[in-house]
Amino acid sequence: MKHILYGLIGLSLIFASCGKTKFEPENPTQNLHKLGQGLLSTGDTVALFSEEALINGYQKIFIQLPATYGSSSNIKISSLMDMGTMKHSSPSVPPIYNNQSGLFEAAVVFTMSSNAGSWQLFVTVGSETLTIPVTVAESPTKIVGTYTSTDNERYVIALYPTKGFKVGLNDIYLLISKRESMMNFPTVDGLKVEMTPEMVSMGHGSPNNIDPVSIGGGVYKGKANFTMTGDWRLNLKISSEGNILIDNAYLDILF
Amino acid sequence: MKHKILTGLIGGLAFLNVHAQIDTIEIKNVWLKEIVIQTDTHSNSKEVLSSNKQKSTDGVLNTIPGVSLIKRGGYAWEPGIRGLNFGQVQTTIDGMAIFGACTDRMDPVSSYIEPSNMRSIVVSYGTNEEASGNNIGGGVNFKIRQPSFSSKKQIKGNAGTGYESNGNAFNIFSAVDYSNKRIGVNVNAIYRSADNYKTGQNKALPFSQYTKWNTGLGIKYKTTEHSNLHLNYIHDEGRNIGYPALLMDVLFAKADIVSLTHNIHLPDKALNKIETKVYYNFIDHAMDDTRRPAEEVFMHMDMPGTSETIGLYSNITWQIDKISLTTKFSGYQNRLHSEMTMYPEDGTPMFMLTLPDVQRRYAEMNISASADLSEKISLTAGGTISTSSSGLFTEEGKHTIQGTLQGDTKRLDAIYSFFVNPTFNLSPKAVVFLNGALSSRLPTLQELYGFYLFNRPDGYDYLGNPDLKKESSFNISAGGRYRTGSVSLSAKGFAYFMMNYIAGRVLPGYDKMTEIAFGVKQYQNLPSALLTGFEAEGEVKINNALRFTSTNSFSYGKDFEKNALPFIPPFRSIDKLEVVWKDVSFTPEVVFAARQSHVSNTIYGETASPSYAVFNFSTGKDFALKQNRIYLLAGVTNIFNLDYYDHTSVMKIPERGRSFFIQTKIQW
Repeated sequence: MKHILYGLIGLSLIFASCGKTKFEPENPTQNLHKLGQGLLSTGDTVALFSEEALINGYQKIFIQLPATYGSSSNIKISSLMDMGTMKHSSPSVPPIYNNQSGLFEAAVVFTMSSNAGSWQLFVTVGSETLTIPVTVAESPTKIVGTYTSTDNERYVIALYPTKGFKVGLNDIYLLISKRESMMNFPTVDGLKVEMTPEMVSMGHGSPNNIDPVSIGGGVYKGKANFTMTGDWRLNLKISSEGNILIDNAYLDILF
Repeated sequence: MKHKILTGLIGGLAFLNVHAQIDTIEIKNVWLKEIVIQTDTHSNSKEVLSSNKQKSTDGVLNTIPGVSLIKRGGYAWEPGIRGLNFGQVQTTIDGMAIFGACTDRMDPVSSYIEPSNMRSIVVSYGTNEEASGNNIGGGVNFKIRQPSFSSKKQIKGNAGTGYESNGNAFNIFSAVDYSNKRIGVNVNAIYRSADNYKTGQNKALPFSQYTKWNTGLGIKYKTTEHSNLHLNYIHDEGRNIGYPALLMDVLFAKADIVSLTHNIHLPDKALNKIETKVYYNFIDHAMDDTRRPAEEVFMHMDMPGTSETIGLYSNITWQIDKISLTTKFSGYQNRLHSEMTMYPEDGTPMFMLTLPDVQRRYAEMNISASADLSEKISLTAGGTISTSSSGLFTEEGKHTIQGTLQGDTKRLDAIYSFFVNPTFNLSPKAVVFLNGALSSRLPTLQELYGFYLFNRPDGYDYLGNPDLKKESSFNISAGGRYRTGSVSLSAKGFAYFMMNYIAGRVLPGYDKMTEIAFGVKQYQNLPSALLTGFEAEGEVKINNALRFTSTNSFSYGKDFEKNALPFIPPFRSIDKLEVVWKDVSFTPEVVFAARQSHVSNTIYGETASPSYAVFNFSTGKDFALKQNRIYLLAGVTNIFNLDYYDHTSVMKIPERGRSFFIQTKIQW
């Protein structure tokens, strides 16, 4: 009886695996959320995708071009917030070609939601720039913050997407950028970041956290030990060459 | 001699042997009726039989010398031996491994078994052939009832009820035995409930209530002339149990305990007895704070836990001339899962594993032998080797602790123990004995992997330590007994030299998780600790009309820095006079405990406890009514309504004030 059962399970596994090989190669944008598209003067389509509907914070942006463009194309991305009385850009991470998906992967830090005005993304392919308006919803927790430093500069601190946190040690990636002008937010390396996770509703922290350290490209990598699920706050203190720049920054995580 | 008596027990003759004098080296047999009768004291274990099924397991344990009970209220007292407890002693049900599911130790194994399920309780004072393996301080084995066979079809039974005025405590029970030549069946059930009791200050103690029921079924089938199969099932279910010493109560505590035992007994053969058991038990436990007043509850939380154990053992006894040899192989797997969900008033619920899916696989091989070396000297000796693997069985569990508990969480252990126990019969009236043992025990899964478990006694959140070394102990004890027809005196002293003693020490820089905690402690190995003390018992009998018994225990413990160890009971004495006049018994009793001032407040969070003397009185009669036998017992406990507590009572929760009780039982 048992052998028959095992046999049946084995057979069904074979059928299942046979079935899978008949599928077409996966569409790389199948599980992505489409933000919009535009036409180049050549008639080629440029399409923008995100992982899910956009929220304010660090958001990955995927750029799809016809395969003929290849990996060497000169692609740029930038953002603009039009608040009526004023306009400004926000930090972004330049596109990099992903061989496996054939997509260009970039990131934009939306520093506020579309409640404050209207967001546009600019994609530059070669010498041509397309404008794609997008809507950014309010993030359920604060995953990006803009802080004025002690030397009167403005810094944007953004947390990488908050999906997949678990109880235990978790990798934490922060992107730190500085506002040089309303239209220019270059990333900053070499800052010292001290991170103290806190369980907000209970007022306790957790042991064995690792402060994020600069790994280039404005990215800081550390580890947070979440001892339970719930509302966690990452309290952040930023300093440079011994001078405290910001000591009241925080980002919130909920899982 | 010993094995003849033990065989007698296993043959189901226990109830006929109620007054048997059992002389053993290692096993102390105490039979319990309405009264505890001590029949032997020169060994380092003790057997208690309950025929009065009305007394609770806690009540029976409370009368045994050397048994210390950690109390968290009026229910589920946690038995220890001489002040050692938890992982230092092993608590089993009929040799089966079973572990409580509660992270706050609300459900010691003894809370899942009732005297109505039991044949006897075997208490081992240190490592011996009854309690070998994973302990340094002996343990308690609750032996389950054995259905018997009879040449003619027979149905026997009993039923009874009892009531106690203080706390409105009520119980009702019944048991039925059926037997014929091939089959024996036993069914038993008991229900107990109590409201809050009043302390000696006439104040109701909130959250001292409980409700529970328990049922047992045993079926024994004779497979051949010399073998049988015994299927046993126990279900125990408590609901709405208050724990006044703790922050939470219990919504439910359920246990299912099932075993199948195959017995072979070949009288007069060298290969005398083979007992093989397979077993399974599952405990489902849920803490509850919804009945507590809102101002006491910092944040509502749910804390359920489960414990699942599967195991087997095989016992083989050889009888070769004057040598009796027993080998035992046993193994089990235990899995514990405990979790906590906290519900803040604003914000999302918070979830964590407090015992992050932890598992232990354990196997041991034990051999022991006893022999009469000469007319005056007999010797029992034995040893055990054990192996164990401990770890976490889910990815979620591993991920939970990986950031907090450093090091490799999976571990393999090997432990061993052995003992030597010579006995010298100086004269027919006097016996002296020695016992030396070297034993070790594994850290418990809570001590290895516990994740912020709040310990009420010292007020710290506890973290496990996967790198703990095994705790070991060199135990010596010596004693003697003098017995004539009317007088029996016995005393024994002991000293345990413990190494790598496991205790919590403050972990600086760690944030507590429990609102009222003082901080975080982690289990560590202390280089050494010492436990010493004695038990002494005396009995004077005049005819059958008057009997005086005195049971005394004392323990003293300190760690390597001379800090007093926690939960060490002070000197305690139970002195009882039984007078029988015109078939009615009158039993005045005094329970005395000395002041315990040897405490460590800074390290273990204890404060001194005053002495007390509590007076009790009972009167009883049993008589025949047609074919039936009727027992009546009535009395009063804590006659002078003293406000008192035991040193081993967590948070110094006061005991029950004056209480009148009445019990009746009919047997047919």
